[in-house]
Amino acid sequence: MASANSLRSLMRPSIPVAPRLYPIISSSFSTTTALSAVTGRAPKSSVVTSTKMKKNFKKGGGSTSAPMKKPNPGERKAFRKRIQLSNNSALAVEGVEVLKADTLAQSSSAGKMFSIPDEIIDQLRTLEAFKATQAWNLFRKPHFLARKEAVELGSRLENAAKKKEAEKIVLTGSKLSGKSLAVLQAISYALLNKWVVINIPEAQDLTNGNTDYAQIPNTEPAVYSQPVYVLRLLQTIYKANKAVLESLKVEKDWSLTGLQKGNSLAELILTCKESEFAWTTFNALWTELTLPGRPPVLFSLDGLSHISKLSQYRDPAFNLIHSHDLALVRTFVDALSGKTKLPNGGAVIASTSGNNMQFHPSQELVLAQLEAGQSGKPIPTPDPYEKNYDERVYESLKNTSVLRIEGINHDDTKTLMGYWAASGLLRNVVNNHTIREKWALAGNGNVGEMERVALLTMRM
Amino acid sequence: MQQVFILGVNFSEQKLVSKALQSFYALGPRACERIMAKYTIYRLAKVGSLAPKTVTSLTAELSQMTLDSDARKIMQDNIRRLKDIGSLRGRRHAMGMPVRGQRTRTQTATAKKLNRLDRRN
Amino acid sequence: MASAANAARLNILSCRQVVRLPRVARPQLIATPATSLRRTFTSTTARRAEEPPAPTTDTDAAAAAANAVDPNFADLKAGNIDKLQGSRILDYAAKENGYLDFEEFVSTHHKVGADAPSSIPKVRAFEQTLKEIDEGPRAEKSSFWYDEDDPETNTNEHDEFDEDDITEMAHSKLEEVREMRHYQRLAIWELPLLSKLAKPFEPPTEKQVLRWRYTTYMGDTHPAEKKVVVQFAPDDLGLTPVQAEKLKKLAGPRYNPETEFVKISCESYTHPAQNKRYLSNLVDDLIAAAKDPKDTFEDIPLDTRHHKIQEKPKFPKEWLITEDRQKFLEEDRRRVGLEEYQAIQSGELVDGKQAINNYLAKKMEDEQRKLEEVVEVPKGGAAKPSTWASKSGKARR
Repeated sequence: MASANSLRSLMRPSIPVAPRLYPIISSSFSTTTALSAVTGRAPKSSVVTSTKMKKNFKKGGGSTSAPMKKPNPGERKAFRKRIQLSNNSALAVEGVEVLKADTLAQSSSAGKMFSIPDEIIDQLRTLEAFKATQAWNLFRKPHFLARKEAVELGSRLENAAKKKEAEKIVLTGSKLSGKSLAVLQAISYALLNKWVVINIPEAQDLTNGNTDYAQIPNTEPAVYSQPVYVLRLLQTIYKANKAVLESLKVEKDWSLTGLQKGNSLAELILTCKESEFAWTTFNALWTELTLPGRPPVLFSLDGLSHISKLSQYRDPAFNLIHSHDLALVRTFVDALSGKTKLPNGGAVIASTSGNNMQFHPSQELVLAQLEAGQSGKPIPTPDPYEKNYDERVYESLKNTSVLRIEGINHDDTKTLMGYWAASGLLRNVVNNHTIREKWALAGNGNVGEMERVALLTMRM
Repeated sequence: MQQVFILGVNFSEQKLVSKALQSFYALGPRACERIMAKYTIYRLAKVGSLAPKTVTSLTAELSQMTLDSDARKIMQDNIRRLKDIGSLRGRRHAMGMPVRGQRTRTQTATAKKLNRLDRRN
Repeated sequence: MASAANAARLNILSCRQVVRLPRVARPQLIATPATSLRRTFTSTTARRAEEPPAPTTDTDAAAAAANAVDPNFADLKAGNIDKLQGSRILDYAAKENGYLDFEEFVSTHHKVGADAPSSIPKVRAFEQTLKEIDEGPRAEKSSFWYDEDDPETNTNEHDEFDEDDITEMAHSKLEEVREMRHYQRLAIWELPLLSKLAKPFEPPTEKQVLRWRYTTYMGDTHPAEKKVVVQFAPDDLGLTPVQAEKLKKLAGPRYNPETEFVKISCESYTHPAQNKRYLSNLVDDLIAAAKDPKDTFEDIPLDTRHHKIQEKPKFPKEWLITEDRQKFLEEDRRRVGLEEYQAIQSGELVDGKQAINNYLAKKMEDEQRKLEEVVEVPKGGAAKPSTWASKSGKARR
């Protein structure tokens, strides 16, 4: 019996199968149910009745049934860039230490999870230190793993503040390895230690030609300021460093901006209401901050390769402007190359971007040379027949030190995955097997890949 | 809504400068790029964000160029000349057919639209 | 007709007892005589048929052959030569048709005739057969392939295929097999003999730094035959390092930085020898120029843009399992396993599912308790809802 039934599936149906029902034809996008009258009629008639053929099919002129509300200007971008730092469905993890001012500088904190204290979360958010691509939205509260490199970074920042020297660091590493997170850790350290933090979250915004630019008068060769961007940056600096800036008094004479002698730096920023004076104000602020007796400054930038190439802006002679000729970029680059000294100590951190990378031979060369020099390997020599080398880029980076960030080791993985499991996001026992499996799948412990493998999969 | 006058034409403040400039006949993307570079106007600048001084100088700049009706006149004169000397190109213009030896069996929509003796655009 | 010749043949036949070889079956030819024998209408006399060959024993036949054949040919006169000629033609025709010679043919057919009582029609049929074989089969007008313009062409072959032979394709396949076997035989029996001609390899001496390559097409003429290629390593030429570097720079894109060889070819002249002469002169010139101390090109870096070194992925050395590595791995595994065991014993192992379940259980418990509290104290229902965070279960951090 069973065999007969199984064979039946191979037979052709002797009775003709009922023909396919006509699909209910209604407008392509509609939430209303189709009327039954439509189904009764053969679809052919509708074709016949529409005798007049449409001649050209323009994009806009269609008769869409449900008029969609267009998003307001900027709404879509805001949605794209929104940062969600909490997930109520995730379990809260107990017993995680809160980050303190000196935590990241202590070698004992390597390989531990830390929660970001609430008081600096808003500041970090203002500074755009959180990225939309990071997985903050999965967890109940923002935590991070203090990996070996982060602790090294922290201790270097501490040393820089002590020695009153500028620490110039370039963060490199493969995609998703946690370079931006290292910047965030550095910023958190700086904020907790009452530094002044200036953060440029996306260097490409400065050079892709999508923001206002204007030539700064009396500069030869011409330097260009980006008033609107700088104005926004000033407001960011004010919001993020309000407490520190309010405690600092203006020392130089800035009466041109209508500032009194005893005013604070916060007020200096507040005097700037128009984008026309943004650059002057920023310049004044930077000058004030680099005077002796100020708190240390952290100047960080993400996406180094974007400021190593020609920008998309054009000068009046229609030549592309070099990124270093943009005033804000130049300020950063001068600080990075050591041309501007930071007498109060501080750090200049530039982070390369793994995904949004622009290949620049000079940058590659100098970073490779620095890295080889640090590890005592033979230093690569420049290719004599490469024509795209840029001396300015080379000069700007040659005094830095490179901190390479790659995958984390097994112990760190264990800590991190324990946190994930305790959050209820990783539904596995965090044993040796799981740890090494995910670690290997993520290309020897690349954190971003590990997140993809462990957290962002559909398989539970 | 505020309006900005450039070369006697009213533009909405929300309009991109490049769009506004390219709305003039005989001012294409390349010339537009150059003009914008000359006055350091960035790519996504809107007409409303231009300083009054820049608007004035833009108008002055544009007034130096052969635009709109002048440019059209030149082009129409050229076509008229071709027709007057009885050349094939002139005839093809008059017929509304492709001028430069393209096929005519299909794909002559552009020629049909544009080619005529008093060409508009 | 060929009666004289027939007589001669019959004589020979009677004297020689030729053993018939087993024949390959030729269907048409056997079939046609059979049908022709049945014919009842012939015009020729059947004299030959009346004389059956004398049955002789083997020993007799051998003796008779020795005696009879010789006089037969010895007595040949001038007039008989014609007849002999004719007999040769008949022989040939018989061979063509698959018999050893004419005698055999006759004997075959005659046997049939001898068994039956001799009759004129049969003799005639026999004659007819002879004639047909002599002249070739007559074209049949009714056949499909018959062409009026070309009546001589025999089309019977195409029409009559009795399906008792393999096809032409099969024949050619067989032929192919035979050919292959021929070559295999050659490979087995002849090729080993070539090793006698082999010479032992002598590595080039230090003086032989140039590697020449010529092309031959085994006797064929070919446009690429004249090409000659020379290869040499600049380091082998006995130059100083500076001179060798200069030579590399002079060679330009002909220098391969990966193999460190310079490779130059020439096919400008008609003969390989001329090309070789040119190349040899060129190499001499290059060396002379490299030795020229006037300009050593030391300020110019070696240009290797023409050659991209493709790195082939190899198994990394670090991954090789050496003894140390093996020991380390085992130790590491033991350590980790021990740690894990201890973690399990002390209940420190974090389990995601367990954490969720604990949380849910605790939440349910809390709600239960809250409900009870509400039931008990309806007025004071200000039981502060505890936060999720405070309840989350087994998180150990």
